[in-house]
Amino acid sequence: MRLGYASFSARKRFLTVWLGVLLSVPAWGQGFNLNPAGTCTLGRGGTGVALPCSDGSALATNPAGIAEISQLVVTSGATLHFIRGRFTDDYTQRETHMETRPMLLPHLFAGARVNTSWAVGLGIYGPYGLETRWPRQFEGSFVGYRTRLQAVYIQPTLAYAWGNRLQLGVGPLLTISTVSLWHQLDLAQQQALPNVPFGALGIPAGTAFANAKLESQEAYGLGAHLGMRLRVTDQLHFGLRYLTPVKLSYTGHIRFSPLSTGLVIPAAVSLGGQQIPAGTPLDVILASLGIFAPNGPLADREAKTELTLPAQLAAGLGWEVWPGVTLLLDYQWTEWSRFDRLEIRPQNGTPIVRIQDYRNTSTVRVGLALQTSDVMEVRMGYSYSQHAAPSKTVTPLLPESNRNHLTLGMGWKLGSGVMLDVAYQYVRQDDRRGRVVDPAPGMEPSTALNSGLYRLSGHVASISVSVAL
Amino acid sequence: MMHPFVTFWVRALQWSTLGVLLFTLGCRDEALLPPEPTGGALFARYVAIGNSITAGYQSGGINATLQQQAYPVLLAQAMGTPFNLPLLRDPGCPPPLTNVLTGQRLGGLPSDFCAYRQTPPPRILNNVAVPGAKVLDVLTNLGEGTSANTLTLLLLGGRTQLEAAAQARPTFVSVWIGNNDVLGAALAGTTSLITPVNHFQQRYTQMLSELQAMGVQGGLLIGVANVTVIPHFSPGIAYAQAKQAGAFPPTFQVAENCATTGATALVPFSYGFGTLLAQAARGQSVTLDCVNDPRLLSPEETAVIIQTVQQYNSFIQQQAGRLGWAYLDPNVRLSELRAQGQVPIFPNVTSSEPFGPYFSLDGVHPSSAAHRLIAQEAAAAINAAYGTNLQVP
Repeated sequence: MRLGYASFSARKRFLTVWLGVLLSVPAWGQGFNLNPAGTCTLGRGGTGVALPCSDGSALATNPAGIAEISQLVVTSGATLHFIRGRFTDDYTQRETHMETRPMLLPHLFAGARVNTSWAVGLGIYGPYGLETRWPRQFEGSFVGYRTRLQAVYIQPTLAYAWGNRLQLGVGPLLTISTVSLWHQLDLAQQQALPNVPFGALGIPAGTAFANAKLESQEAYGLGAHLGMRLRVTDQLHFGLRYLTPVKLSYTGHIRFSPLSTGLVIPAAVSLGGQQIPAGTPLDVILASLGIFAPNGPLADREAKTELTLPAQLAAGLGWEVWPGVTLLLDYQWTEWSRFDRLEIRPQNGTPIVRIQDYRNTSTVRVGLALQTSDVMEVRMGYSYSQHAAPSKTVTPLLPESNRNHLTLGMGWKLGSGVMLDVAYQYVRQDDRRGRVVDPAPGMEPSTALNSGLYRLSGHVASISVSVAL
Repeated sequence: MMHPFVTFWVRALQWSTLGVLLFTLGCRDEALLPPEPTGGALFARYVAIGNSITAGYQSGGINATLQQQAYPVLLAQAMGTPFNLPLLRDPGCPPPLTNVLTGQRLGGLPSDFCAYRQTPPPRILNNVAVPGAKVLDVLTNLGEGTSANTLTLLLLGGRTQLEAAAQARPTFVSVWIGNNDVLGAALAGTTSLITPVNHFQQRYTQMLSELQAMGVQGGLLIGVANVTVIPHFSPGIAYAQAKQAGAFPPTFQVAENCATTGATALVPFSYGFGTLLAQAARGQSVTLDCVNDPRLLSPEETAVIIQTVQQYNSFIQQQAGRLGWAYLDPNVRLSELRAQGQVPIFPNVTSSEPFGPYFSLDGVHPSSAAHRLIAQEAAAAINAAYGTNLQVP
């Protein structure tokens, strides 16, 4: 069955499956920004604002680019992320490794020419995403041991070409997103008696006694993606694109569950007028307080939070320096300063506020495409991304830093308009000092809390099949 | 002139090389790593194990001020290594004595007052010593023979000393434990409370094994103090002389057997002053009997305690030698101070230092001056064993 003639119900099922896959698989990125979607684009180091790939991934790199599509193109593929990370404590030199598992992020692009001037397209991709997993024993698990942000952009696009010089494209965006944040609660910080936290009774800092899992339902947001391409000369191209910010309001639940502290009261003590005999497990005392009861302080409850996926402004140059040799240069500005805080508002509870104070970032990408034969193109690229998080908010939630990417890719024309693209990227993030604890309530985060070194590196592999008619 | 195609490739190669160079070099920065301790890598993570002395207990109480004057803190300063304490809130838990005779404590608070811990607690503790701890208590908090108390909860939160130490991944440890394995017997006047030597050895060995399993690279073992020469114990003859000098009220009698015996029984201050003199002051007639009173430490019992301490220390020294660790016998300097009269045989209760400059107001625990002396001796022992140059001013 040719996709172009697929029945509406079949296409709906296809889309449903893709959406399901997109929302069920995690990803990671700079800030929580991912590489530009598409295997061809990845192979060129993420470049393509001026000269997007012809596989329809222009929808993500520059919506104006689909005006270049000859008739109909459909590209389907997936990108596999394998990230390794660890935290080394300054003092103990104890290393905690992130829980790594391969993560798959699919993408789908389809574009069609309507007439000599107009083209339409539909892209389903994820410019933002994040997943970090740490073992529960990690000292940073009180900040977060599993954080996941998933965001799928569904972007229908319309492009118009003025002759062969200027192309414009615009597409409204529907963003579907979920967020989850799991962390443990430290008993030392909880109140045992009025104005006497358990820490004052000697309970060690970092005594996990409860798990808190925030899971949101799907949140929906709207935005737009605009692009412009200009053919300056036959060899030199210029491109510009702007992705609007997307505001998302999440509603979900925080679920609390008790954890065993493993501690035993070593001597008979009197606490709040109650005599506690030696040998009493601390868990028994906590259970008697009813803190997890339906009306207790740690009863499951609804919670709300908001997040704005930031705007992107990118400009690019494409220069065909020699027939079959194209040099690409992109610059991207990302408005990360919108991510200044993460505020979770539990129902009937004190808001949990995490100051982020991200800064706007720049990313520079350089790519090279070599048409080595009629059927093969070799691609390579390098990109450098600034970190968005200030030094005071490098945490287990997202221990990001300046990042270097080296990529290599290839595309084969398999005949009959079918193209196979593969790409590999090595990611090396600069080591960065960070913290594993949050500041005391009401206090601002500070680099004085940084107590170790985060190290991350990764491998990214992508494969796509394009069908052009 | 090169062909443009060749020129392009040469330039591309140059840029690629530069990019790869930046890529490989720009990611590792030694400045991101914490500085090494000034005393060397051996002291990167120092943990002190022990009892009340190591914890900083003085004058029958403990608070943050006293904790910060303890010898491990001074040693850590000499090592140039971070050292976190389970600091207690002022005035203490319990607040230290301010008057040895009246029993008045800091803040005028009772002996059962406890101000709890300072918060937030440090993530890692370096001084894990607990007042009252015997060797057994380093291993476990529960079970027969353990001495866990309120401070075990307040300082370690239900963990054992070894469990708390393991969290710090110590590279170096100091261990001064065992005094309470004989002190309780001395204070109660009965040798039945002494920890048998074979039990002591078995527990001490287990403790060292568990420390080694933590990856400890070096250590200092401090021998058990001869508790019979601390100024809390005075010979009966000293009481007889004091009585003769009119130091006691008429209701306080001292039996003849206290004055006639050369090697007389030892009277604990807590009994002689704390019990008998207090009763006499209230008008009750009391008599100190140096032969028949079971609360006193008879010469035979004293000899047993001294012999036990020697056996303990012989074993500890042997273990230090086996492990290649430093060893310090505290009794050498203690005997010198005693011989010099710096450790009085009988308390001068009218003085601000009734037990001399090196013991605090309870006559059992070293004063801050003594802690400095201990730290200096400990540093010298470590320097001798490891060729280091720790200096405690």
